[in-house]
Amino acid sequence: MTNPFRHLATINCLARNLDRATLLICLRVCRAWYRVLEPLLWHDFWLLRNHIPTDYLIVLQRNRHSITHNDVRQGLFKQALIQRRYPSPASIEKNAQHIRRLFYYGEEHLFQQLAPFCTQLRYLETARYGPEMKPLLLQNLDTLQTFICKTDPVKVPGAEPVFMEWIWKYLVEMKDLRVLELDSIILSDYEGSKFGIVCRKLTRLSLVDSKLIERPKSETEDFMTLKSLVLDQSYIPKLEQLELFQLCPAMESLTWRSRTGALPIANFLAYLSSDKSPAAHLAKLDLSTSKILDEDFVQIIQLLPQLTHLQAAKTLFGSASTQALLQGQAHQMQLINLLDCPDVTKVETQALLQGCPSLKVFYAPVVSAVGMLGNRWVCTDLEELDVSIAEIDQLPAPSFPRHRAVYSQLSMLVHLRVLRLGDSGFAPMPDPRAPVSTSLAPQLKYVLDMRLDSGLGLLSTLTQLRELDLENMHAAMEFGTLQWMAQNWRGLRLLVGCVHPLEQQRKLSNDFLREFIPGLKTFFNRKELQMWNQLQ
Amino acid sequence: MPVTLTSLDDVKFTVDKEVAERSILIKNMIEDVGESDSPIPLPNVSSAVLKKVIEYCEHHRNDPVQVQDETDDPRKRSNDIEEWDMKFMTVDQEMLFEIILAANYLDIKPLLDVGCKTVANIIKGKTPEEIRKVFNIVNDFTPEEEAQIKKENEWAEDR
Repeated sequence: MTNPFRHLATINCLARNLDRATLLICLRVCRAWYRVLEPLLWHDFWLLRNHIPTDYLIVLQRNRHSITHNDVRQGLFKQALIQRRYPSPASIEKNAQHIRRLFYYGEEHLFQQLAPFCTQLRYLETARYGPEMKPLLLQNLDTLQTFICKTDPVKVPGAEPVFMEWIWKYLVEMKDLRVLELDSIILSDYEGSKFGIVCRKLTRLSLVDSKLIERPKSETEDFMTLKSLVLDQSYIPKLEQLELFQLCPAMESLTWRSRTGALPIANFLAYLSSDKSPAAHLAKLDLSTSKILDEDFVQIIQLLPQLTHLQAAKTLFGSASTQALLQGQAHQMQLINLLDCPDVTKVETQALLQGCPSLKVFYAPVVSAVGMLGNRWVCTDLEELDVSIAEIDQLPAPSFPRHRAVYSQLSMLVHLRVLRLGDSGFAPMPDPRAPVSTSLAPQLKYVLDMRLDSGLGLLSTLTQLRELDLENMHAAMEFGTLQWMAQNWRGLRLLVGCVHPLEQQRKLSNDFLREFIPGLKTFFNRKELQMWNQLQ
Repeated sequence: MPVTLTSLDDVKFTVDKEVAERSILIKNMIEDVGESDSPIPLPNVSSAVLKKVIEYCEHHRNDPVQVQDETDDPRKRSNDIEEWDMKFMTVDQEMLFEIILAANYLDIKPLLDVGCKTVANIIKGKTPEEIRKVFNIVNDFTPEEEAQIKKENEWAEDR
């Protein structure tokens, strides 16, 4: 039989698709594979955090069952639970040159060992800003394409921004730099020219909670290659931010958020109507948390005919904006995020689900169970859905299964990978681990019943489901339902929320699911999941 | 405009130019030769394999051109295979390996990628000896060398 894996291209392609544990096994197959694959083992290298705060340790301990050798990202969590192991000095000297992506969060002693040999970095992500960084940057000026500086959300949440005066000369010299992301960083540009020089080579610039001081008030040349711009709570004066937009005629994606939510909308609309408008290219817009009125959103939508992705969570997006979207871009919208928009009711949600056939991601506050009768949603290619289902009690009765209308509509979404069912529409129990009290039991008629008897079995069509979020759903799944989940949702990797109100039963249920759905992680709530993700 | 491809065993396949040009090799050959009715010879690909490759290219004719580079974030890379591709790749191992070789030769990166993902799923969880059996590879390590490699790279399990 022909062996396709004698060619470098095919071995490399295979290696890119192997998880870390399998890559390690493949090193021992034969000498030829060892020679080709060993450098690939070093392509991504993490220098781990020096400590884990107690809160995170608790989350780690609770989820230690789901830490496997097969997940390289899980290696980050082992730092708290097992003694760390290091490559030998000889191995470092031989292989550090193969590091292409370096994540530097701690272990300075290991950094000192491998930094002299790291000369081919393409990607550097760091939460460390000491003088040890300078030689590393100097020896990678010709290769670095992505440079990400941030504070460590685990180590110092809410810390003051870090002042970096010295970084500019390196950023200017990085001839292949394309992506610059700064989070909680203050940079000064005393000569007044470096910012423009750097931006003119970038395709993506992200300034989150960051400040540029001493930046010149005007640039003479556009940033022709900049396609993605993120200004999120950055300290640049707002009108200067608009001037920055005008320098990016090829902009395809814009994220714009302020600390207070206030944005100079009149100026923004004038810019979108001007000769400098990126309307010909701008397809992705994120104005979440902004205090933009519904009527202003209408104008923004009308000025962006290429819009396909709109993130407007926690804004005043409402019925007029919904109509504008349906009249203009309904056929092309792929992502709509309207979470926590107080003026988005079940009417708007239903209209969008029935009017946007190309939707892949849809987040909204609420949809009516009654509106789900008749399977009228057109967005059957949906991959992510985050919505609360209300008016369950108003479904026509008697009906068998009880919540058939809801499950029937959801079952049409055969490409769904993420399903978050939001909250149940009434206040959560003070302690989510407390048993359901009898005073709350009558309210369960307002909640989608997550059992086979009630129609859950119809969701066997969701074979691609990866994430299920049941937080606040007050689910009380029986063993038969758990068996069904294990049989039908074998690709499920994340379960958030409680499958049973009683703690002991919940533990047994989660243990069962984790045993029969390999790779599944379970979290009590989204806060725990967020803590877990911050350690990634 | 149709293009004719000739396999190793001299079987001719006529396909749309758009479909044929999913292969960068063929695309470059067409560009070099210019407008021509002459069949394009593919001496490294048998008719059985070429038929499968054409089937793949037909199904994916409208897919956007993939731009992949080494700096792709592995955390974002998906190891999932779409349903149609999974059914397409449900073939015996010999055919699977021939498709991978053909994808490499014809420079059809998405097909090479899905072929390698399929193989990656096959070898996941296997021991080195089991992997050798899959690929018919002779072990040229001594037991001591194999143990040394395992020990030297233990650190990689953690990061």
